[in-house]
Amino acid sequence: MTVSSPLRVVPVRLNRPALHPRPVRYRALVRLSLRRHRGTLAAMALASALLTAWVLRTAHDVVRVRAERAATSCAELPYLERCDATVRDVSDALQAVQHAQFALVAVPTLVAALLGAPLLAQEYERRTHRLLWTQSVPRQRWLAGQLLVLGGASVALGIVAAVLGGRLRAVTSPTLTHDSSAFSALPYNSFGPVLATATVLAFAIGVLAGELIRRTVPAMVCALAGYTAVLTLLTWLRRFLQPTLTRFPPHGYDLAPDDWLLRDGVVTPDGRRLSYAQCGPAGCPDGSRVFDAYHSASQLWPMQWTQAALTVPLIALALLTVHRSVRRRLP
Amino acid sequence: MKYQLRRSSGTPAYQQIIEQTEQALRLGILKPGDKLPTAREVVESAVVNGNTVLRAYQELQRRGLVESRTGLGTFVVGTLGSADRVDGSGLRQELEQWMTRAREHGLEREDVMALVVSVGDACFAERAPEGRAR
Amino acid sequence: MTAHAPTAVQAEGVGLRAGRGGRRRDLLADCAFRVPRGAVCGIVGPNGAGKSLLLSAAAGLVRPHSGRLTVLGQPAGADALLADVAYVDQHRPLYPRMRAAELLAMGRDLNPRWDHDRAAELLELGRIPLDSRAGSLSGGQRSLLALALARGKRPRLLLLDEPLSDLDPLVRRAALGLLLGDVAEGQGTVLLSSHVLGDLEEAIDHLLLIDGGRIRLAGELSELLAAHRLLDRLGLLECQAGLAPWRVHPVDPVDEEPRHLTLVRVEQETRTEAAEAELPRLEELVVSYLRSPSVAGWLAPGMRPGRYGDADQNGTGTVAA
Repeated sequence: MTVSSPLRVVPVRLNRPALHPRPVRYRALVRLSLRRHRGTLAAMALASALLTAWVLRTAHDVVRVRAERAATSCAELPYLERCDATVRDVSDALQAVQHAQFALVAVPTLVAALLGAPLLAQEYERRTHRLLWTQSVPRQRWLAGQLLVLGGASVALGIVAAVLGGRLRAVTSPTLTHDSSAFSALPYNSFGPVLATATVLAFAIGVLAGELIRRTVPAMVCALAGYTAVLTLLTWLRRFLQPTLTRFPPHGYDLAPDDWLLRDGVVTPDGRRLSYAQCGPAGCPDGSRVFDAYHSASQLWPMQWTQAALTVPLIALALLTVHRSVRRRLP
Repeated sequence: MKYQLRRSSGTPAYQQIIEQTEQALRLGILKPGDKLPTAREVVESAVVNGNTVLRAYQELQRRGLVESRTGLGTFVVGTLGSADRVDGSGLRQELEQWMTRAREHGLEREDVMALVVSVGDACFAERAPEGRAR
Repeated sequence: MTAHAPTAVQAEGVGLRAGRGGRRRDLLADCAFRVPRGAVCGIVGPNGAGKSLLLSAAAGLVRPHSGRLTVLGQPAGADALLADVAYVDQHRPLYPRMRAAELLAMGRDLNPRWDHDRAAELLELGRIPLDSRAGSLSGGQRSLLALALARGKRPRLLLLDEPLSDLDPLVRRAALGLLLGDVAEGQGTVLLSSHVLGDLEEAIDHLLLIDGGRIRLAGELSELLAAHRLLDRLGLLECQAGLAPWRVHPVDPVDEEPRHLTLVRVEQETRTEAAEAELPRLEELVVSYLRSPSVAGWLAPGMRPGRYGDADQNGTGTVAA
């Protein structure tokens, strides 16, 4: 009969050497992230090399065209027939600059969709988080390792893009045409601290979308939508980041090409400000003075830095939310 | 010494280990001083629970056939039947000749085994099984 | 009775839910059991019964919505348990583009007690080249790679969800042999779920049968088997007529067309009297209980939680004799 008291396992042979637990270091987590994302990182490196080559070439063309224009003294009036070719070159170069600036503005959106969103969503989709979260590393430390590598990559990419954008701005400044003032949305978002922080913000929004949505493609879409919304908001907000200057030009509009005209109109003798349209068919009241409310070109960099400083807490907020969510996540 | 356990035999695995050890002792495959395979070795080759092996070894120890030495393993200390006497007596050779004859007479293996068991039962009916005396 | 080993896993009134958000549903309610250290415990039950959920919860990937789930003396999911508990998911998640060697390197990097040889042994079983990418492996090889990652960690508790399902019979035996060998050497506790009862019969020493959101059977396998008998028609009639000296609770339905053999549970006090009757095998026991969902479950005394307490809170992993 097999009815009997239970037996317990007794170690028969313990020939293994004593264990020497090694603490798990961040270096190991970083190595894991590098191994896991090496494809992405390589593609990123290649893409930024191509982007660099393209932007530098475009900038070089602008410098050359400007030099030609100066040499042929086509910049000044009166306009001469022989300047047709030069003018065409200039407008082609500016067109190329705009394309390059579009590419730079698109860098954060690519970071959001291709780097940030898949970071966690892909783990959830493939269930690999269940493999990782049962290794000997608390999941929030694992997350930190991942963020360190890919977040670091997006910081690097943001800085590269910002410097490239700065180069484009430098060669087109002082501006060649009035509608390409450095304050208008396209050049403004394509260089400097604004682009660098926007890239990191896009990454953080992507990671957050991945953490909340858990499926890669929907997370990419949401990351794009979210980043676009935040960028639109910041782009609208930037005009309030520096004090508005007002001048009362005696002979109408006389701002410098790189200044940003916010509002113009007249100041009535009783101190009200009216736009030209508000003056009505009867004309503006007698004794009105013309005013221009504007940001001067010298406010460009302070405005960039203020906006960048506003972006940093947003990045922190997004990443903190991700951190808390991962720690409490029930798969 | 390697155990081969049969799932469908109806005999519990630990019983099979005991029987196979005893058989090895009878046949002289295991001699006093020999080391039994470790629990790990048996578990790995026979795919049985470790407790099964330990239970069998404990029973063999209780029967005075083996002894467990801490950290070293389990060693044979007793003998069963009389392997030495079998060697010197020529019994094995006689059995081999007998088996060959049985085969020549057209008997199947099962027929021969049935015969051996039935004659064995008749001849050893009055004697208690060895090893259970204590 | 022998002294009871300290507890590896203990559930007290544990309830578990599956799914997310609005599609949550209760899968297990009010589970109570304990698995001692050094056990090889099989978790069996029909598909969707909650075997995977229970293992996930023990691994700290799912939190019970009620009750207390304790692993190696700590609440399941505690950070301090991460190095001591290994888990193999039933879907074997692996990074498809990583090579086997890189996954092993990951195991080494992320686990303080990593043992490369133990992991490599399982890779050899599946003839997995170290430079092959996880995505290119067959289902069985992926299983072995996932098992290798878990075994190389040298855990004190190994949680395996259907570890053998897609291995061929030869490799299955060899892999199971290695895992059982680890336990036999005092290397910890194994909880494994499986559909294939044939594999488990000789391998496990404890059993958890989950069905219908409850624990139906829990206990040391020999104890569970010893508490049940297979009665033929005559034996059953004797019992029903009160002629037999033991008291039984039928598990198989008795009012339907009579079976050749009926599984019954024998009351503890009268069990010695029942020594003559035939013991069931694992498969017969499990199938009978699954066939009769209305029959109350039974927890062997040693598996009832809390009864023996857990003196060994920060246990050393050595198992008492």
